[in-house]
Amino acid sequence: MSTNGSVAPLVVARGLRKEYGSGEGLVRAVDEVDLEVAAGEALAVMGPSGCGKSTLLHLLGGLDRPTAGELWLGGRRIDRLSERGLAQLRRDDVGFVFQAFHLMDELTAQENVELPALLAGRSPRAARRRARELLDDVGLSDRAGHLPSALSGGQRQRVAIARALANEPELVLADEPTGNLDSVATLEVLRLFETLHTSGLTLVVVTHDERIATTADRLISMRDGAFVDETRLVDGTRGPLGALFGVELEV
Amino acid sequence: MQQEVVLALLAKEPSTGSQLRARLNDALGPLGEAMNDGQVYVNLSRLEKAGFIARETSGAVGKVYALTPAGQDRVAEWLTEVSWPKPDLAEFHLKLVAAAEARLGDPIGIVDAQRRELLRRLREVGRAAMAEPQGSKAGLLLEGIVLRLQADLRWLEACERAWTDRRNR
Amino acid sequence: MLGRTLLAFRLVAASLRRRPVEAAVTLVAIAATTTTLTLGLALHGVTDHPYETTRAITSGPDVVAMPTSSPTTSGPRISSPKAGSAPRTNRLAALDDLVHAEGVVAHSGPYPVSFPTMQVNGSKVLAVAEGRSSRRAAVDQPYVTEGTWVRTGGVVIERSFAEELGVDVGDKVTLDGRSFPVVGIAVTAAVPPYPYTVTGVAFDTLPDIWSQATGLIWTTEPIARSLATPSVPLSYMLNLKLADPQRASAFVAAHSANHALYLESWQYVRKVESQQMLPFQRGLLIGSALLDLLAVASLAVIVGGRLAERTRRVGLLKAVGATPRLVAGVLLLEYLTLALLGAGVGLAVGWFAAPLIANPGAGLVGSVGAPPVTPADVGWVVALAVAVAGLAAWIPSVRAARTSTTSALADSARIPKRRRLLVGAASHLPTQLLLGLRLAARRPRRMILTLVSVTVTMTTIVSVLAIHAHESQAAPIPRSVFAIPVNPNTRNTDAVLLVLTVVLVFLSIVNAVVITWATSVDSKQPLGVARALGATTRQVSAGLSTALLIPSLPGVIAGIPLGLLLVKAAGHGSSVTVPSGLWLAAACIGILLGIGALSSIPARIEARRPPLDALQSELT
Repeated sequence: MSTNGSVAPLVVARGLRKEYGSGEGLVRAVDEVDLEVAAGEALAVMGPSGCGKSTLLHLLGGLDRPTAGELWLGGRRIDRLSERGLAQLRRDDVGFVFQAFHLMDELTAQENVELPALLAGRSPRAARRRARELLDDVGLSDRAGHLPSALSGGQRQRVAIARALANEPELVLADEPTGNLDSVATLEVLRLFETLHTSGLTLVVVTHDERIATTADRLISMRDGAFVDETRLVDGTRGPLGALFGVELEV
Repeated sequence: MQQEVVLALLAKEPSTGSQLRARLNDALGPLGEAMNDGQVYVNLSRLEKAGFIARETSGAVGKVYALTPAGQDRVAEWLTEVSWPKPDLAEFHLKLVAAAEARLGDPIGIVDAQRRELLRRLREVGRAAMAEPQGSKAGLLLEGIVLRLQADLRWLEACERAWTDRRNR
Repeated sequence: MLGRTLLAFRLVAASLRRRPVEAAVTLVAIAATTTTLTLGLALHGVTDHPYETTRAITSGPDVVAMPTSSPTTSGPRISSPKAGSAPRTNRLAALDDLVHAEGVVAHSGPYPVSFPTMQVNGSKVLAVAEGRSSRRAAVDQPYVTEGTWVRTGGVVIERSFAEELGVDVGDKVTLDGRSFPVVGIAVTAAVPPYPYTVTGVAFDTLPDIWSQATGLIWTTEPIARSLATPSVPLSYMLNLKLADPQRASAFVAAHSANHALYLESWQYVRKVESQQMLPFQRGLLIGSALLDLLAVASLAVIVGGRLAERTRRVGLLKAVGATPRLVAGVLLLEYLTLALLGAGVGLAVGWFAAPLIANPGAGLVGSVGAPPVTPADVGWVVALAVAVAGLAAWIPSVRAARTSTTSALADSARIPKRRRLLVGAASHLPTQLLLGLRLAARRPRRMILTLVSVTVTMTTIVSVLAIHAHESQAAPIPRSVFAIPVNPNTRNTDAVLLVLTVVLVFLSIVNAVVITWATSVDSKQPLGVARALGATTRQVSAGLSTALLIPSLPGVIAGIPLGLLLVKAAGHGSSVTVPSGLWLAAACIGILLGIGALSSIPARIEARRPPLDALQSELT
């Protein structure tokens, strides 16, 4: 683990459950999940589509409320928050990155990135400055005035990542962030996540792609709403890559 | 890897051993690290003995090797070959079968352990790929290994499903 | 073919089931539009050339003539027709000459006319009683709308007169103390209706009971003669038909030199009629114009409102391999279903509502008797519904055909333009306003649509206010010495205006709801995103309200002069009373508050669901 074990975890879930429907049609999308995510950790949740991983992510970020169980974020219990409280949580404490980007088509890249800061009541000047910085960080300062429709998929996702960071959240949640991207754009986004991770941000990425998942420190496999396996990826690093996949000439 | 790769790299222009080594490194990236210089020189002297290459001059830069006509023929022939490494999955497969039949271990446990190992490897290669600058030749090779590993992981998933079914039956 | 038809029906059913609220709102909007049109058409029937219609049906005279008694003849009055044989002969001789005048092709009368006091339902009014035979007259045969034509012992009352007095067939009226049954109610084009009938007759012989509020009744000749008194002697009425009706005024001018005669052209009657139409039919005329405008406005919103969503759906259908024709067919079918259902509802509502509005119209044939909604009206309404369906299906089909399937799916075909000024101004405002302003600025078409709709709504309300203001200011009709408890004319106008006001305001509200709904459907995705980013419900609903209020403000302001202009135009240039500033301000603020409040409803409904739904429904 990349962080000190004694530090209180940023995210704690106990017996987390989310049900849809009722009676015969009852679906347990998330079924009694216990989870701890340390501050600064990068966690990947993997599983086939419909396993409940996206629902779990939405619960963690206050986009949805659990049916049962307890959920803490930064020591604060969030599963019983009011709609208003949840809105504040999404605004100040969590940054979301979606597969479909979910940028506002009507707003330019710059304005999209400004949005969370403005919603949080920052001054337009401060919001603009922050947005400029973030767009610069994701390498899109020359695209600030473009509408999303004028950007490539990778660029849109980078704008979305910049937006997720606007209010300096402790936790960034990403739902199949590269699902709509080609391999080059995927690498761009992964590099960006790597930078975020290195800078100490806590990341939870939900994906069905092993490659994305293995960029994390820890990988949880989910099946039918429950965790079935956990792999600590940072353990047992093998030194130079060549030792594993090295090329040798026949001698 | 066959010695023809060294031969083929000489087709571009006559080169010294260290120039060849640099080009190999450029093409292989981190994966070329395991190769030692000795392997290159041993290869070069063998190819010379076989008459595929000849020493041009021996100046300040060292020995400069060039392809002979026979060498050029060999390279052309090599380029048209369609051989491909055999996928080597039988060993692991038999490991599972043996473990299950002899009740020496749980095939699913074996699969899980293997899967973790492959995931960690994937992480290493993936990070190496991310570290490569855009458009690097080595990046493409790393991409290939990533895809291979992903295919292997998928097969492991299939193994896990199959062995779980078999156990439950 | 069968399979594809089945598929089309299935798709339509699925689409309607999947979005029941949107289907319902579309249905309501189309129903409101068709109701509006039905009412508008029904009102046109009332207000379009009502005098001409009546004139044609009743073989109305081109000129009406009456003898005058010389103003100097103030000596002893003749107490009975027989006793006054000499003046009577003189008078009739003058009328007889007129019958043979040049240009006259037909005539009826002279009919005896007396001026009894009529008592009915506790009211005392002056009646003009014309003695007619039961036979059909060649000129001026009043059109019976209820009961029968005159027969012995009974009277027929002119309809506007009867309505004002609240008299029905079968009631009894008292004429100079004698009781007569009412056998019929009829309309005529020969004289203006109540209360101006008297202006159409030579009344200078009756200085004692001068009053404008008189109405016409018909009875048999003997009764009419018997109602003459020494103080109010018998007179006569002659109806003439000219070879060239357009020359009626000239005919009157030519023969007025003869001071023994008082003549009136049909143009004069029409003028009085149309003056009297104020404020009766003026309200109706303005009302129908406004109804038409409202219909157009909500139509535009309906067609425009579902476009974006439809375009994406077309993309989806194409993506799964539907041919453009099938796509267009499915869309058309869906809209046709909604449009025809809506038209049915609209016609039914219009059918019941039209008489409420049209009935109190003046005593002319067009308004009552014939059904207010004609088969032609039904045709127009259904045609409109089909046209709406066609247009609403056609535009997204064409657009989707032009754009590639993938971009239709992503709905990125429409790239909103930047509006520098608005966007720049926004950065100094609170977040909610900023959000709304940016939403509005990037959807110029939606903004224009909202602007137009709000303008129409405000125009409506200003017109209604102006008419009411005019009403309360207008001088009351000179009261008869015979007291009528309430001026029935004013009472009826109020009823008309009230019904019209209620209908118009209701439709305006429907319109506002439709605009709000369309805007919130459009803004669902951006507002969902805003919520996912932590915008509170209040911020989201304030943003939506702002997006609507920005174009509403100029609309409300523009509505004031437009409303006044409309009233002026409908009043044929007569003066317009500007409603008090207080009322106008109240209307402005009321509309803006209403739109603001309405727009917060969808945002609040949306807020009850997790923001996920708005995001996930994007591709469905």
